[in-house]
Amino acid sequence: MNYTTIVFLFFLLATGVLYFSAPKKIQWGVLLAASMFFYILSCGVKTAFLLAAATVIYTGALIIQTIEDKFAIRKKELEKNQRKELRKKAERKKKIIAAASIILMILMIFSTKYFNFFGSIINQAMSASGIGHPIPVLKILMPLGISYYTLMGISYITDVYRKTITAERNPLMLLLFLCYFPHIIEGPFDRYAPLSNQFRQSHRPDYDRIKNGGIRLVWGLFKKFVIADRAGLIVNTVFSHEDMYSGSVFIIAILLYTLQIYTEFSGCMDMVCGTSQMFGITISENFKRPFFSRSINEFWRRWHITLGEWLKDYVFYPVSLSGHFKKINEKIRKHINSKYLLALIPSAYALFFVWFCNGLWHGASIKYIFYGLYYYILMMMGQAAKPLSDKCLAKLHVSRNSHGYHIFEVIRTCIIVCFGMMIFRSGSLSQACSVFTGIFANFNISQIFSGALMVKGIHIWDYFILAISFMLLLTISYLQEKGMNIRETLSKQIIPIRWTIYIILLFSIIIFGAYGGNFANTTFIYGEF
Amino acid sequence: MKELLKILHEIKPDVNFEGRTDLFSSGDLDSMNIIMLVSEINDEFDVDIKVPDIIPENFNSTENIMKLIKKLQDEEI
Repeated sequence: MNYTTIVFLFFLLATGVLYFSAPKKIQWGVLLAASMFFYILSCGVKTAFLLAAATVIYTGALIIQTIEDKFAIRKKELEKNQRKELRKKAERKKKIIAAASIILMILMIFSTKYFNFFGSIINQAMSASGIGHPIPVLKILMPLGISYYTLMGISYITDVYRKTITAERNPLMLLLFLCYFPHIIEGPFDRYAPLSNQFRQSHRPDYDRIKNGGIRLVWGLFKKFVIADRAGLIVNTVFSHEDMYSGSVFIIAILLYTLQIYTEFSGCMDMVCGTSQMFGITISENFKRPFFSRSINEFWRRWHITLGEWLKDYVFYPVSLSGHFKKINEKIRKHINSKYLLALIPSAYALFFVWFCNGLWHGASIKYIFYGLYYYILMMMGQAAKPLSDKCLAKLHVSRNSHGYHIFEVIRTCIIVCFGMMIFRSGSLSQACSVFTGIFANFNISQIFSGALMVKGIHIWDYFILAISFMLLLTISYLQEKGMNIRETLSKQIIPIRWTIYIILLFSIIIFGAYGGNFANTTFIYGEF
Repeated sequence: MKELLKILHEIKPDVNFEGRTDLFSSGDLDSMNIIMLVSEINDEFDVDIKVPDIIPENFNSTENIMKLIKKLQDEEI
């Protein structure tokens, strides 16, 4: 079941009716039943992976909690030294359980998502040394949402280990956290404590909340159907006939792909946040107008926010505060006096893991690893060149706070992101390289004007709709960036104006949405991760 | 507090830390600055700041950073 289908709409209505008519104490039970129904219908027997993951993290967290609770009771009777010794033992046990649970979770995702990728690398290496292909190719389809519930499970068990939350005693509540239908397909990566607290509360139907959630859901559908799917048809045609198109056409296709992936992913987040809001459950935000960012660091704090936060909390900080990292840091300090290098080298070390994991999470392919490292290299270059750029700006009398420099930084970030999207969209790393070289070697701007962009199924009318929708999106984003709450502003308008806008938005999806014909069977890009 | 301010100024010379209550949330101290700060604080004050301690509440103001240091120094096992 997909969020953009009529079936989902009926599912949502039925769940809403059951949810709001259920007694307070079992409302979360309705959400669990609905989420499991949604998941089983979408995923079938592969639901076993979800149940196995839930069992592993539930059991692991409970054992960790028991060790912690036992220590808390026993420590009262002990002297300081004995307490220290017992603490050490308890920590060691907890670490073993947490590590074993996390390894099991990783093995599950590895067997379905990464086995064939790493197998092919080993086979290639073996084949080069004449051993043959010892690793078989498995025909396993990746279970829906495994990349999301695995990371959420790891964050849960790590938080129990770190004592920032206590382990959940009710296995069904934990299962709901993992499979909650608004976040199972494309995230966001929610954290356990804020979500479980909301699940336990009672939620009565509230007109404003349901209306606001509904508007956000419709806005997400607008982004998906009117913009993303229309742009996607052009992008798919250009990228699947690489030899036919010149560099200039590819530049348009890359810009359109950036628009497609942004409107599709943020549109999906609007749909799921809006849906969840209707049930009274606030889930994490994943976007904050990323294309207004002044640097790529800022871009990644505004794009797929919950993935960045996850990587920061569960990869970056643990690596940076690990004993291994401290030893490296001490060695560097012994041999290097330069403050510049003392700041740069540790960053380069810790951030490498973050960006490698970021790339690998997106997919089992060299292309995705390169995508992550592309940002890593650019960030490190930016950090390394900062003293030089500061000197240049001072010589040129350009202030970093000036309006002109701000605009320059935003445009520079957009260009960098667009090239990143080119890698992301390409079928392979070699295609990304040939598209990149083609942009410069065979620019040929005349191809744009000779109708090359009028691909099958696309009319000049579609470009017009894209341009108008893009302007609308840009205006709304700009107003939000300036601090305006669009839905609140709309709700203050008189009823005829307000409802005219709502109805226009709804009908624009029905009339201008890209359905049927060549637009059929579009899915969510991030749903495939 | 003097030692802490010295460390902070070395990491971020262009930021005025006094009276601020949003150092972490505003992004003035980014994750890389936090790591450098933690490393310096651990050395200077002989404490061991761990990952769960890295939350906005602990790093949003110099007073809260001092409170965290004090808590870790006094911490009972």
